[in-house]
Amino acid sequence: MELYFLPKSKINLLMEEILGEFTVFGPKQKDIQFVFEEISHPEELRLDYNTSILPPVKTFFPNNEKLIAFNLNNIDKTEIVTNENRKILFGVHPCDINAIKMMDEIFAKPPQDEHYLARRKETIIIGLNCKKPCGEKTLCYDKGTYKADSGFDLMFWETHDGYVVQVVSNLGKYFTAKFSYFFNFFTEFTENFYDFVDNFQSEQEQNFTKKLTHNIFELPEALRETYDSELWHEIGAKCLSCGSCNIVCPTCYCFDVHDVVDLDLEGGHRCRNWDSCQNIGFACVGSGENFREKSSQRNRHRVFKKEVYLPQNQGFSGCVGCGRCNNVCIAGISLIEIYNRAFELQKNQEEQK
Amino acid sequence: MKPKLAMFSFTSCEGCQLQILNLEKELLEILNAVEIVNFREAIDQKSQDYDVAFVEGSITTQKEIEEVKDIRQKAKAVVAIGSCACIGGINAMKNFFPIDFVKKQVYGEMGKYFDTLPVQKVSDVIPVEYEMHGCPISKKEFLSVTKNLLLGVPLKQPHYSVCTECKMAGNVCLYDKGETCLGAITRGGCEAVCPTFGDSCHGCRGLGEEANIQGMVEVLRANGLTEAEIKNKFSYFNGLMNFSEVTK
Amino acid sequence: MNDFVKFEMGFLPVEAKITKIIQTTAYEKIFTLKLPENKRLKYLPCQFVMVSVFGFGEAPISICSGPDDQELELCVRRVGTLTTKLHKLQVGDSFGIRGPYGNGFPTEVLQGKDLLFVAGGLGLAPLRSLIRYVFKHRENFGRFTLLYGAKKTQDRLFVDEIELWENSNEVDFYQTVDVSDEKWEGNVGLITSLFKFVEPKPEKTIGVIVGPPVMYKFVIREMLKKQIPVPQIFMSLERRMRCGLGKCGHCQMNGIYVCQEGPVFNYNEVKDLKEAL
Repeated sequence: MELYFLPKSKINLLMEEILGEFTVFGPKQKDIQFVFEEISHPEELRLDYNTSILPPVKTFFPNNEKLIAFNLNNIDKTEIVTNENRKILFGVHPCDINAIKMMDEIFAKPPQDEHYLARRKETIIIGLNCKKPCGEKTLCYDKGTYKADSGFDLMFWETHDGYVVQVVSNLGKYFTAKFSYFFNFFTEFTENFYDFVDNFQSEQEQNFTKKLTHNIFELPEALRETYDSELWHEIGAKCLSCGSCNIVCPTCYCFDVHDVVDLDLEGGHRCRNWDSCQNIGFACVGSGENFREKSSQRNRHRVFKKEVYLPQNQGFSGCVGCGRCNNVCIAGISLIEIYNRAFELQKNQEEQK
Repeated sequence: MKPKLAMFSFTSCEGCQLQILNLEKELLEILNAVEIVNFREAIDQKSQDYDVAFVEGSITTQKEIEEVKDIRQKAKAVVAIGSCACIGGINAMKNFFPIDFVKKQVYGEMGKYFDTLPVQKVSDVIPVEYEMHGCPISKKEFLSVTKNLLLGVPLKQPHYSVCTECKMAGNVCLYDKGETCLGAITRGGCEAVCPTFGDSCHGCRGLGEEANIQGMVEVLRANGLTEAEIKNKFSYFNGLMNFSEVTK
Repeated sequence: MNDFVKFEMGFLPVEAKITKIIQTTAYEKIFTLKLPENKRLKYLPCQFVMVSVFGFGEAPISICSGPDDQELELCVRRVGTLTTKLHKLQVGDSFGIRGPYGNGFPTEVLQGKDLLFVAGGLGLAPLRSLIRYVFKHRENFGRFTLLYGAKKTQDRLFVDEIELWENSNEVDFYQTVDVSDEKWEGNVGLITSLFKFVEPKPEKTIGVIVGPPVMYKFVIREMLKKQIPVPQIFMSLERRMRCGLGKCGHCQMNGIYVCQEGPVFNYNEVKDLKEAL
């Protein structure tokens, strides 16, 4: 591990240099909120952002991504399309780092997804630790995802006048070596880094609060019990099936595949677009059978996929508690409420026994 | 021989035809593959021989009923284009009032000489192969539908909402800015063009499959809209639908 | 020549050339295919391939030939965009395939056992792959019973083979139609009505079911009535699929990706899976 200190006054200069050599994605303002998009000018980077509308991981899994290029008249001309170029994700919050770690596992699981892996490869991830929660509707403290132990190359820890820069990987070392001019060697703090971290963390402990009534580890079991419960009908009646919760989710990876033919009616691409399990036709087969025709079933599937099936199959939860789905739902459906309801139902059932 | 396309216009602002004309660069490429034989805004020529008819506008007179039936007989495929043709659109507000009142409002004393009927969407009068929704239609959808027609790919409606596309575009939700919007239950395919440019969705592409209208009403109420405002919001483009069950 | 291959390069399809088309019913055609360099596809019974025509999209189609057959055959029902296009293709035309995908049938469980196969409608297509495997290795199995149900007489697939099965002493074949016509002299009724002809020895019988979604629970009930133990009942299930690679999410039933862990399941695996049957 290497440690540096970067004064806030030097961020713009550093960005100027980086932008000359790399494609950088980072938080920037859009209207009254923030997006995680390509940065073209240093001053666009807003490390003081709360959360981004779409999560950083979508850089590796863009909407309408081309999978293969084809020619309608000659199948031999078919080619796989992948996109590989070194880029930097600057200022990724721990919840989103945890999401990237999860998506890495999903897409690397055989059969591997070479499209995601190509975009992911060689990407330098610069994390940015959170001192306080980004909003009321996050579950990151319950989930433990308000911090990240790995999944980044560098981590920025904010101080009042700069950032302590923690370098943990070879890619990270490559980065600081390349821009060494900007990093004042971090001598005076080195031996006290763990004290610094302790202080930082005690500040976090003061600012973050738990939203769930029970421990998160009890959640899969509690949810399982709700499978046939009235809860899902209530949620289903409220849900507008708009799909927003899936689109903004940093760990939703379902997609649809469609062909786009060029105007010359000869060339074209097979592309994938983000799909939502809340769309009515998501589980509809050719013969017309819809395996999840009710909104209640689709809502249950979204939550179960994240909190029951993924823990069961992969050993991790598919929710990093970023709160985006809760923020974006105009019908007011919130995972916090669903989870607490599940705990409550479980408690009531146990009391009845 | 190139397939022949024809554009026809009924009761509408003809803005959808203009959308097609706005394609400029792509239009020249399309002309490699098709011949356009009827297009009032673009060419003088008029032909009775065509394969695909794009029909814009809603049907509001007896004469229009006969004309659109004639088009159906001549064309191999009919595509209704735009809100007026597909769902009645803004025109459908006419149906909220007695026909004599409407005539008088618009034409004054001369109204009695006009043959006018309640608004119908094209599919109320003739079967159509596809409804290309929107006010106006999306240029991109026009191109993809034309390509699919040429390739023989069956045409399918988008199965996702405007909201889905709005999030894909990374937009700030209008509800977060204190506004209301129908994007959640409106059929997508427009790439959320209105919210992207700051206007809310008015439902011009019609409501999505099995739209949760009751749920949408609750959301609008919770955001401070009165019953009358809610009804107006729904009826703006979708006046042919009956919302009386959900709004008081 | 004739090496066995798989085509597993992500979304990249290879060319499958149509060498023969049989219109088996009004809605179904059987395509015989030639692969690049005359390679033979390596697959198990009840596996599927992702079939595509550029511009028209991609869909999973079951392989209906047997794994030992020289020719690769797919039976395609005309239901959607892609399959309608496939039905318009002629001998000499090509389309794309990739795969095979899915777990396929665990044929080792059949060895030395009596077999009770039940197919409904288009379910006979994937099951035919297994049927052909059984005939090829007939000496390895005991009594072989095959039940087939179709909606109407003219909906029956593989009618030439049905005639062979009817006259064969290697298989006890029973068929039924939901709705008969004047020429039909056979059974009329749902697939479950054929169980009255069957007296399996439950402990040594393996049951296999492939059919439309609605059929499974009724046929399973019949098999259980015949005392066939739960672990000896197998089935192949159909779901929407976009990738075949365990990613797109469409084929998921509860926590299971049908394209990876299925389409063949033991009844034990799915009996408590609420979205399965």
